[in-house]
Formats: sequence, C-alpha cells, structure tokens
Amino acid sequence: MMPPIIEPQGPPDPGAPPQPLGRALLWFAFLWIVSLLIVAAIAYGLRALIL
Amino acid sequence: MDALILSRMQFGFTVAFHIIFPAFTIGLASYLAVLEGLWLLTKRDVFKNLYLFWLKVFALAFGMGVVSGVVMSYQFGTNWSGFIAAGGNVLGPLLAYEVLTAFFLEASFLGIMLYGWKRVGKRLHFFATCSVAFGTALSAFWILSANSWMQTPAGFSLGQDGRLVADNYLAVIFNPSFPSRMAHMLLAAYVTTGMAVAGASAWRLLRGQGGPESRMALRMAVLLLAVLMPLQILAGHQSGIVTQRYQPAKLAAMEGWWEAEAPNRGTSLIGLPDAQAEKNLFELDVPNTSGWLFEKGAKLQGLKAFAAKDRPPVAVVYWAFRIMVGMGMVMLAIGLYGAWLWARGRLDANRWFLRAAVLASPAGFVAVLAGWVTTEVGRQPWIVQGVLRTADALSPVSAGQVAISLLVFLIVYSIVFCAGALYILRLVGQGAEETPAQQPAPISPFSAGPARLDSPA
Repeated sequence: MMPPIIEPQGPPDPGAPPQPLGRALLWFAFLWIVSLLIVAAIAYGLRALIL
Repeated sequence: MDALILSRMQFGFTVAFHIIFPAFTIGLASYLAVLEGLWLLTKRDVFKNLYLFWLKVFALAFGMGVVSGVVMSYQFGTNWSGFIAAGGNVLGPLLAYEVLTAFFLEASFLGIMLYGWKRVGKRLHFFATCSVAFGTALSAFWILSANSWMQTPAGFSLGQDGRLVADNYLAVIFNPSFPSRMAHMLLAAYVTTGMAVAGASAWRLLRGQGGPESRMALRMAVLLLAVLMPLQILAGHQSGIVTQRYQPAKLAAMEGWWEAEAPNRGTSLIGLPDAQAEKNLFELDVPNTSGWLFEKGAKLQGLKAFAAKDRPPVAVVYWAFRIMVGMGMVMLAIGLYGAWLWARGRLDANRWFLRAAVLASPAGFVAVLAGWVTTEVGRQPWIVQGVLRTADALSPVSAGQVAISLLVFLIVYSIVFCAGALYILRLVGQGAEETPAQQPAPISPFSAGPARLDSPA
C-alpha cells in the first residue's frame, strides 16, 4: 500500500451536531482566502522569475 | 531540423502532456459534484467513499495540470514572441480572464473540498465542489475561446504597426468555431473521465476486489458513455461543418480529398495519402456521402485547390483524425454494450466486457490527443488562420537553443510527469472500497439502498 500524499477530510460524523452557520461561514471564508493567497503567492513567484 | 520545427515539436510535446490533465480534471470535477450531490440526497456511503477516493486523484491531476500549463505560457515568450507581438492584444485578455475567473475559482475552493468538510458543513462544502466544477468548465471556456480565435479569427483589425487589435470582444470570444469546439471539448473531457472511471472499476472487479463502490462507479460510467458518446459524435460533426466553412484545407486533409472540385465526395475509411504524388496511394471509402454529411450546396474543396505552401501536412492530419474517431467508436461500443449488459443484469459478471473496459480505459486520452493534433496540425501553415503564418510567429532563436531546451523538457517531463502519472495509476488501482466486497450491488445511483447481486453471465 502506498503512503497517501493527500488525505482529504471526510464529512461530519452522522451523530455530530451541526456547526453554527456563522462559524461555518467564517471557516469557509478563512479557507477560501488562505487558498487564494497560496495561489497568488505561487503566481507572483512565477511572474517574478520572468520579469 | 530548423528552429521552427523544433519549436513546434517542443510546444506540441509540452501541450500533449498538459492536455491529459485538464481533460481528466474537467470531467472529474463534475463527477465529484454529482457524487456529492447524490450523497446529500441518499446519504449512502458508497457515494461518499467514491467522492473521497476520486478527490485524491483530482487533486493530484489538478496540480500536475497547473505545473505543465505554466510551461506553455512561458513558451509564448521564449519561442513564439512574433505571435504574442502580433496577436497579444487580442489573446492576452482571454488568457488573463482564464486565470482571474476560472483558475482562481478552482484553486481556491479546492482547499475547502480537501480539508473543509467537517468545518464548513455539508451544504457549503457542496457549494465549494460545485464551484470547482464550474471553474474547470469556465477555464475550458476561455482557453477554447482563445484557441478557436486562432482557428477562425473574428472581431479584430490590423493596426498600422502590424499588430492585431480587438474591435469587438464579443465577436472575438464567440468566434465562429467556438460554440461547436467548446461543446466537443467539454464532452470529450466527460467521456474521457467516464472511460477512465469505467476502466478502473472494471480492473477492481476483474481482480475480485470490487465492492459496491466499483460496481456503482462502473454503472455510472457506462450510463455516461452510452448517453454522451452519441452527443459527442453530433458535436464533432457540427465542428466538421464549421471547419468546412472556415478551414477548407484542414477538412480536405482530414478527409484525404485531393481533387480541387468534385460534385460529390466520399468518406475515406482508411487510406495512404501521399503529399508528393498528390493522391491517396490506397483507399477504402464509402462513395457519395457528402450530400448527407454536409449542407446542401456546400463547397467541398480538395487539397489541390490550395497552393502547396498553404496546405497542412496531410498524412498527420488524416491519421490523427481516424485515431480520434476510432477511439470514439470504442467508447461508444463500451457504453452501449455495457448499458445492454446492465439491463440484462450481467454487467459485473461478464469478464470479456470488463477486460475490454480495462483495455479501453486510455481511449479518451488518446482521442483527446489525436483530436488536438488534428485541429492544430490541420491549421498549419497558419498560427492564426489566414492572418499570421507560424513561420512569422517564431522568436529569433537558433536551432541549437531550441534543441537544448527541448532536450531538457524531454528529460524533466519523463521523470516528473511519468512519476506523477504512475503514482495516479497506482492510486486508481487501489480503488475506493471501504466496505466488504461481498456487499450486494446497487441497482441504480438513485436506489435507496443495497439491492440484488447481478446474476452471472
């Protein structure tokens, strides 16, 4: 068996209480912005190589 | 070999590696959205397990697609500066929109898909998955628009300095060949993914390791192929009609037509085009098919209607087109036969079908590559059809310089991308199963729970 490079997170456990909407939205915005910043950093890094 | 042919080889080599990954991820992203939607509707673990499994494959393929795509945009500057100097004003914004609207959408929501399910909840996670699926299709929209403009340029004028200037961006984006080519490419991505999923599932079932996940994935893939392949044939045909109107030399090369004028043309099934002799040395064809394949009164020109310097390399285009069509027919047969076996309750047990599905699993990738060779080589000697020749688009580089960079690409790609592709293949071979293989197979993606096992063949 290969060691996993990426191990995605599964859905909430069936019995777990749902997250409050505000908290879920905050996580959503946080993860989105962090991902966006990572992409932007890589993009600008690559751009710096050619300029 | 001169710098022109070496630069074309280099771009062709890198784009061939690249297109495999987007073709897969466009289809996979939509497949993931369907799987998550079905899980939300039915709450069946089989969809969740399939989702988490194919999400890993998607993330790896997406990463490799991004890296291999960056290499191509560099080449616009290093090898094709004449093209960018002349056409950059028109094409630059389309490529920039692709990054701003599509790529950022995919890349930023991918983080939530991978690591946010527990934190953001089911509905927001589904929204992220759908956004990534939409982003991949939007990415294809801009890239296909840019490439279609190179096939059928519209909405521009020639400036006094020789540069092309966009007059009407709507006409640039929705140029004549864009709608049919967009439909053809999107469907190609979906059937490519469907065939790969069918092959991976069949492999697990053949080895006796297939559980409900493999059986469900095989059914979904077979259904997709049976429905979408006929639509893909129609989209391809429509693309051919547009080619006849705007790129007649390409169509003549695809069909192996030599005589300048003919009242009726046949369909060449197989042949040996000889550019020197300006004829097909051998040919098996169905005569007089043009009347019902093309519009009434359509002018069907042969290659001799064009000066030799304006013709594409006929043998490459002719054979690439037949490979694409052949692979399409294989996928159509797999889809229809699989659907027939499913209806008779023998899909999982027919080992000949499973072996055929495994063998045909790369058919979509081969068809995509052959299709792009057909359309890109068929556009030669133009880089922008009728406007700018490929030879005039080349940077002032020497053959030695391009030979060295091509050699580096060959070595690096052989190591990095072959290792990545092998890793994905091994991952796919592991399957999505988490539940016992003996669990009964589902009847349909919408059934509420496990049902009967398919009877043996």
